[in-house]
Amino acid sequence: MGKGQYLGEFELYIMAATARLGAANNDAYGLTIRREIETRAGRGVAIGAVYATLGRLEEKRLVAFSISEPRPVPGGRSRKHVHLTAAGRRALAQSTAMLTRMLPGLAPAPKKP
Amino acid sequence: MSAPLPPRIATWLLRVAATDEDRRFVLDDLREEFETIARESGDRAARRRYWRQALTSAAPLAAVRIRQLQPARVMRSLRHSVRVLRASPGATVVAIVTLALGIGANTAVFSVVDAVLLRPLPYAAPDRLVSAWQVRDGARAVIGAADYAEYAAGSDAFEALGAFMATTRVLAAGTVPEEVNGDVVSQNLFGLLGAHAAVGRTFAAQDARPGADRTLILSDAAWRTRFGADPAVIGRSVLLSGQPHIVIGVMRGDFEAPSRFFSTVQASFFLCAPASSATAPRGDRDLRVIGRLRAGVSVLQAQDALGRIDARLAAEFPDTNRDVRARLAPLAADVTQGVRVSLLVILACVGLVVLIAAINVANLLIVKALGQRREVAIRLALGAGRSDILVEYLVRGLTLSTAGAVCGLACGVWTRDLLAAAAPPSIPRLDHLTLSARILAMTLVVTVVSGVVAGLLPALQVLREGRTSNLKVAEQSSSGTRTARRWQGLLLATEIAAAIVVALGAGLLVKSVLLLNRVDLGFQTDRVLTFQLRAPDTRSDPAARLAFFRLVSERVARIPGVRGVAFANNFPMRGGWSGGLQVLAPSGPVDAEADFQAVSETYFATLGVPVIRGRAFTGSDRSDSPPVVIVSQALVDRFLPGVEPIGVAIRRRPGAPALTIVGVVGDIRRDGKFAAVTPQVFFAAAQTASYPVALEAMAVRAERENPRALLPSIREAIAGVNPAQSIANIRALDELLSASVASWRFNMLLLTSFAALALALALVGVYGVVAHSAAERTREIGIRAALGATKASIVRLVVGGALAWAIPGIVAGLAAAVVLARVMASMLFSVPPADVPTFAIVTALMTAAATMASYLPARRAAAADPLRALRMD
Repeated sequence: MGKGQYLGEFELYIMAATARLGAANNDAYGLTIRREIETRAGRGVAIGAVYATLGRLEEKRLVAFSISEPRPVPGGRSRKHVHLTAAGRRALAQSTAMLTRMLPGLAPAPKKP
Repeated sequence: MSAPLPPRIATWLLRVAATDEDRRFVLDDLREEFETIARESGDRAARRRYWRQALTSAAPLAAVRIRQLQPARVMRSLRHSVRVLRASPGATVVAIVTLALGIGANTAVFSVVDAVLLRPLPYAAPDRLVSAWQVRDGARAVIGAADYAEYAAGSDAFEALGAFMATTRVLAAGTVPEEVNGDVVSQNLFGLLGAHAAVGRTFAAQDARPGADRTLILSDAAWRTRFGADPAVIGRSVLLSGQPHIVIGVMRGDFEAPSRFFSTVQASFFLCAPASSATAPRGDRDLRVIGRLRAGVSVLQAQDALGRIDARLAAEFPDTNRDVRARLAPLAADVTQGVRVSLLVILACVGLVVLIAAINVANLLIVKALGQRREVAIRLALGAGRSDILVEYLVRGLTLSTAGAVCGLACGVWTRDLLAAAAPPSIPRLDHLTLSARILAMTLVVTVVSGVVAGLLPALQVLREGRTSNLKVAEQSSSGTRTARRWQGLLLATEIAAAIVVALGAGLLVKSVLLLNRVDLGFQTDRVLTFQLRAPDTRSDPAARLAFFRLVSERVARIPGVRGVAFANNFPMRGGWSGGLQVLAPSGPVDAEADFQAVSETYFATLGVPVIRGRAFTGSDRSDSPPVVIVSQALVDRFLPGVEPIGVAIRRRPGAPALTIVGVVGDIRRDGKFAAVTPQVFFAAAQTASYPVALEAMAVRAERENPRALLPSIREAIAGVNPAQSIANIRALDELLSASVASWRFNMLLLTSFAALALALALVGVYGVVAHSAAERTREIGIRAALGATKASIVRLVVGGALAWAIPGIVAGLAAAVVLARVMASMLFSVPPADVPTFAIVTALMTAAATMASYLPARRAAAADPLRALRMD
């Protein structure tokens, strides 16, 4: 990641979700990324926003795609799997590190009712 | 397993919004989720979830898609378009010329609309200027000085209320005294308009005071032509009709006098009216009034304010002011109200021509696109995006329309000048045509719209095919061409409908002009030159005046090439005098209304008015002989039916001297083609001493065309009688006649040209569509021929197929034409808007033309050798 290039909040979510899913069983694609964010962050996410952001991250060379073979079931489809590139992993690490340095001492977020 | 399907409309929305790259994955992801939720929590929850996703996803996806239309991609499409268009130069040239004609005509007409209707008036804050008039007996009337003074003093709705009236004066600057046009204006008029003098000053309060020196302001043109643009003219005294006036200012060159918007003459000078007073005679009405509204006051509020004054005046002066109401309108709307409808109708017709042109080009591109079905299918299969194809066709359409617009703009500017030169003088403000930003913007809009129409239709066509077809798609596959044929049929119907609307508008105007031409004036206008001789020194002496006119007409009659000379108080189509009279019929006196004129013995012969009974005036009708009159047939028909008119007496009012009818002449329409035939009474010029009228007009009938050629000799003859005599208002009757019908002719000429253009373009379109569909059906036609179909039946099949689209087009066009005709009602002359013969003729013409345009390709298709047709694959 070049100097002055930071991840936006939603970009960070997506990168984090991709990293988690990739570490688990290499299963990061649009739908799973969206679910991951929805379950973990507890906010609704539009699939269009996920793909639009992934497109932007690819342009920045932080993620790469690989199209899978169609699944061997009737109506099976191919998926666009997402991986973090080396630059992407670095950017994620830097952003999370910055974030962790910034957070200590802050009052905890108000509990959701 | 029959899984439930995600909602279709939501899917379509996503399909449209997403890029080619993302589309498949987004849809698959959502579908996967949809199926999971449907299994777990039921259809409804799944659908709700799907819809929410679709709605929230559309915007971010579309944003990506729009970002992807990069300039580089458009440039690539542009280069590709140019290559494709250059590959078939013939079709490309046809398309560009078609669009150039449409866009050019549109630019030309819109420039006129812009100059006349859209450009603000050349005054300060023109939106607060209003025009005021009165409604008397249901008709619009100018305002009297007394009422004007009341309005100006009694209303605080206006910052100022000004007035002006046209006038003429004899100007003695130069060798020959000449009659010039000018305006008498209220002292505040220039200030009200925000107009300033270029040299000197405009009028001030002291110029209007009683007893003030007479002052004069010159127009820029008069200052340049008559005073050599000499700034020292300020302060100089100039003789106007024998009275000295001090020149106090010269207006700027760009100043347009408001009188110019109400008449065709240009004011050369401005005189200051004395301060108006409410004590002016209430019967005299001759002022046009302009007001500047106070900020925040609406036209209606101001009109109400004047209405309260009207009510008071009606109570005070019931004789002159009962039922009189002041009316106001924004000045800009008022000065163009006579031409607004016709200009907008013309603009609408030009818009239809552009539509036809764009459809023709779209058709051309559809035909080409169908030829490229295989290529497009291959490109789609190889991964080209649908948006690539769409952009490519749009760029192709826009390339054509831009090329058309460039050519169109060039010929539009030229056409516009032609238009302005041919326009009747009744259209104001045409001397200020420029290529304004508004016109360029309008041309740009027309270009983009026609380019998009021309590009989008074929793109949709080819993409539709691309989705359903596969690589095996072949030229003769009929499933794909069926939709194409439906599209083309629809375009054909639209073209025909548009063309018929324009043709009908033109038809109604042609009929109006034909009827106008057929109106019999009752006198011959050809080769007659008329002019006015106002001799101030003989005004009070009828005998001297008569002697002067006799002498002049004797001298003019001796000029070679002159066939006849007459003089009168005035000649037809140049205004006149009317009033009441009593016809002393054998059964008792009858009150009548008639037009009056005092005429010389030669009047009827010179104008070609036939003497039906009795005699014309002769030299023996002198001031001391018994007073006689000649009347027109209409007077006899109306007031002396079944009575021998010769010998009957009339008088101008009870107790006035009786005048004996000695002749009856044919009816004339004194005020021109639009006037009704009214009873006429002619007095003998030699007996004018007893009427309130002075001889001042002369008519000369030439032996050959162009009576103006006689003018130098006529001037010489007049100067021989009185060197100081000015000649004014020199007009040939033919000129007056054509000026009176000029706006009709102009509208007709324009609409007829556009109708011809629309018709030609529409027929080219019909021909193209039918030729193409016949070519597509070569195989089918071949089979029919092989199975024994006759040539006639094949021609019927193809022509019938075209008419099946053309006839609904004609019907739709007629329906739209009824609306147009109603809007055009004020442009028509004794033709009802729903004129059945015109509708019938245009319908027949259109049907015949469409049949003809489809017959030609049909015959060619029928003539093809069935064996060759079948061997095509």
